[in-house]
Amino acid sequence: MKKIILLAIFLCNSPRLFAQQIPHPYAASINRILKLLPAKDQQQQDSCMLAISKLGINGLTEMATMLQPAGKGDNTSLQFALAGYAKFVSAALRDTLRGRAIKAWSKALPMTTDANNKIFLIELLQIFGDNKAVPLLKPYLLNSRFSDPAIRALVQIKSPAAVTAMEIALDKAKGASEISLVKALGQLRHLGAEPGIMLRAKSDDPVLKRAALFALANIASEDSEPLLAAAAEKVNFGNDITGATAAYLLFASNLANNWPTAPAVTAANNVLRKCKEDSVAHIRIAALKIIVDVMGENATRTLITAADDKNREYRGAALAMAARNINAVSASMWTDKAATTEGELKATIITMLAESKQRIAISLFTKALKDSSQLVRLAAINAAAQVQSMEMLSPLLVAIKTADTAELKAIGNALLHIRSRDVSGSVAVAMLHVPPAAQLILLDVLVSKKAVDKEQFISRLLASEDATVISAARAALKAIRE
Amino acid sequence: MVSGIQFNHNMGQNKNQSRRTFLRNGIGAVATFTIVPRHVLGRGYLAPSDQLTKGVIGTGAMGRVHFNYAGTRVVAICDVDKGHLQQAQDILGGGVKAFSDYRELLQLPEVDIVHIATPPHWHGTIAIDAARSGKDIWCEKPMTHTIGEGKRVKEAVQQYGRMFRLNTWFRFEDNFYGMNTPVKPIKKLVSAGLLGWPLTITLSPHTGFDWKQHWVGKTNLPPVSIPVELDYDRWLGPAPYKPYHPHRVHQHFRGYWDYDGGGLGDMGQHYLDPVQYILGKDDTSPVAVEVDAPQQHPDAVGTWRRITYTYKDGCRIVLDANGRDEQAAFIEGPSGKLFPGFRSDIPDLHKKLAAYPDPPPQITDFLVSVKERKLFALNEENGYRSCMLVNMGKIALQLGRSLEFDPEKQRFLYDDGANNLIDPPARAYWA
Repeated sequence: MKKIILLAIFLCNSPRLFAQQIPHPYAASINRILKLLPAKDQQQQDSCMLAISKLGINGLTEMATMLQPAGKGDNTSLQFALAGYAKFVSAALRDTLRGRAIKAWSKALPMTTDANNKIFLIELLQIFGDNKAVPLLKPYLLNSRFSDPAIRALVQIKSPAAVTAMEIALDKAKGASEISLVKALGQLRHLGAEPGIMLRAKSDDPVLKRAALFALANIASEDSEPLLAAAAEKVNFGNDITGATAAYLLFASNLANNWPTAPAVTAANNVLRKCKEDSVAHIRIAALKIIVDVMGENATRTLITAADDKNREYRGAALAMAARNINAVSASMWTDKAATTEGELKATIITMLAESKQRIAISLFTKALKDSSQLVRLAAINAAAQVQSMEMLSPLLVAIKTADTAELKAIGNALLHIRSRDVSGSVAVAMLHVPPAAQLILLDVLVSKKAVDKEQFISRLLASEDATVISAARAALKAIRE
Repeated sequence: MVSGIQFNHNMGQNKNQSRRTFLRNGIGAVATFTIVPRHVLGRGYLAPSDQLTKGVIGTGAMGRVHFNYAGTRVVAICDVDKGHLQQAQDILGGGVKAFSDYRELLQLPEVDIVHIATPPHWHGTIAIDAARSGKDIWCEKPMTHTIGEGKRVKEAVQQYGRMFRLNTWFRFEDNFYGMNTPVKPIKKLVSAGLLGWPLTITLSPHTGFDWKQHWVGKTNLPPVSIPVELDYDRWLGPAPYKPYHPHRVHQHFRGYWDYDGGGLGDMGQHYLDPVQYILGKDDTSPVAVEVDAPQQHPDAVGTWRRITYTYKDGCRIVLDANGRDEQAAFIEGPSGKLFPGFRSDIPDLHKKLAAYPDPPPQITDFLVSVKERKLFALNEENGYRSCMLVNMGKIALQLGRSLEFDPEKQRFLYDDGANNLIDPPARAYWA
């Protein structure tokens, strides 16, 4: 009995004993390299990586299979070596080394039985894998444990063989693998997978359905339009767990990158026609943006109409889109629009034109300095600061006579932005004919501009009836003389 | 995971949408304060109907900091850790809806703003879904974990006309760390051209910036069973599956490449965003990034010594983690230098600077941005660019080599490995 027990113990341990007896011809070389890792700098790292490359395919295979299961040993040095090498061969002009590394991986992966180590090796193929690595990854595409890293590696490889491997696997895939494959094929915009993905877009499983809808949106074939539109309509273009509305908008947005672009505009208009509520303002904005992205400057009329929309958020978004697409022609159209509007909308259009430095709108800005709305007046003053035009100088110095506190400050700032030697002269002259509060602002401008030659004008303010002005004039004289 | 959840698309929509529309149409302020005068309720008081409502996703330490932001009211919270969620509910009291799946929170029509306070590997996914759900977004830094996610967040926010605020603020308020001065005068100085061009900006302990090199990961972590209160699969979300260990989650996640990027990930956008603003690089990116660092482990973030970004015009940003250059100025240009405390070798700097205009004003109150639909100072566009600095640095560190970059195409030159890290595919099945 004792002999039987001893024999059983021996047999149980025999694989380990036999393994210890298997020769490891590269062990000494590998250990020498591992002792130098992690490398302290790039030079040492490159030197270690060159040493690894000299091990050849078999040596690298041996190194990869030295990884121990968790809790059975410390893999840290090996991880530095293997990951370092994966990154090393991914650099330019190292294709030969890369090919050899893939061959080593093709040997090491089947020999690696520990799941975490296998995942570690598969994930490194995301860095250095190329088309030659596709056969290595194929066996794992339907394995629930390894499909995720394998599919992510194939997405990085992107080659036709990688895509075909995933398309074939999708037929039999279930659960996590199925979802990962659907997502990956969508990400790679693989048209061939569209029929299979369309089937899954009708699934009752919201997770699979969501993955399929977004995959179809990424593939962006017109054949999917009825399905994606129906899914979005079914949820009233609202927000749901399958992301149907977002998928439809992504689809339309991607269609805009194809030629012809008209279907993208049709899809976006479909959304705009059916969505009118404030609750879906963001959906309407997204649809409007697709139209603007496709039509570019030809969308100005659409945007001008949108600027009159009852929803403030939608109006604001339309103006923001207009600002991104503005040119001389559209600026002229917006200038005309501003002339027929008032209040906040007018102020916003002025700001938009000013921020894009549209000199064509200077007459609009000048007239707006006299607008009855303070919001518009402030926008016009700030516009003067933006366009920095001498044409705005005199109107600003007129406007300062009736300006309120906020406008005074804004005018002071605008005057500092106008780039001309004539600013100080005009300011100095005007300063003598404006109310005390405005005089204080103009004194600041002269000080900021170090207008030494305007001392005589400043000195005349010493006779002011306003004590604050006298004090400010004294300070100004001192400041510009320093 | 979510197949059992029932979603009611119209739940409370009309009632709450009216309140949102009312607020955003900007006419509520006059009409709603007739019962109790505002001054009776104290300085800064806003009636609940005038406050913006928030859904906070991620209720750990960072999420809780934002429960009491003036002018907002938390109406919903979400966390994948039941313990965090319960603690948050205890703080906020009754009436706050609690979820473990952020997509349920996004269904709520009564939520105006979504505050994303999760670890960075979730920022992009949640921000995109929030934009698609019509929510305005307040996102913790770094904006996204990868460059690709950042691009998609930017596109989604702009497509759906959302307001986006990245939660770092040094480009418009507070002293800029050890510089002991706000960014505004620095921006003014640079715009005035008094330092010349191109400029080199150094962020090192000597110029007032600590790169928190203690944010490193651990290797050889033994398998540990997952605590019952944590939905680890959902915590991982789009990140690759790795066996659970407490050092990977919650307050330690910054030490792992799958979720963040150590001190660079943690502090990078705090430090680099104002620098990008100062240099006027909000619409571009560097053409090169050089790294000097020990080799990085593929999972655990390690330390680094120096990262240098170079722009096409010759401007450089140097991240000097160890303060190797003790004499470095914060900004150095051909015509002068600027040191912490606004010290400079330019004589009469303050007087000279007075002649120049201040930088253009910015919208620095996110509630104003939301109510008036105006771009926030640090938004999806410039935030994307400053986050790209962080992510470019992370990629160069991970690969252990210097890289060249095309700021227009936003791709690395001649480097497949680097380009594969721009937008690595996410794990699909967490959904």
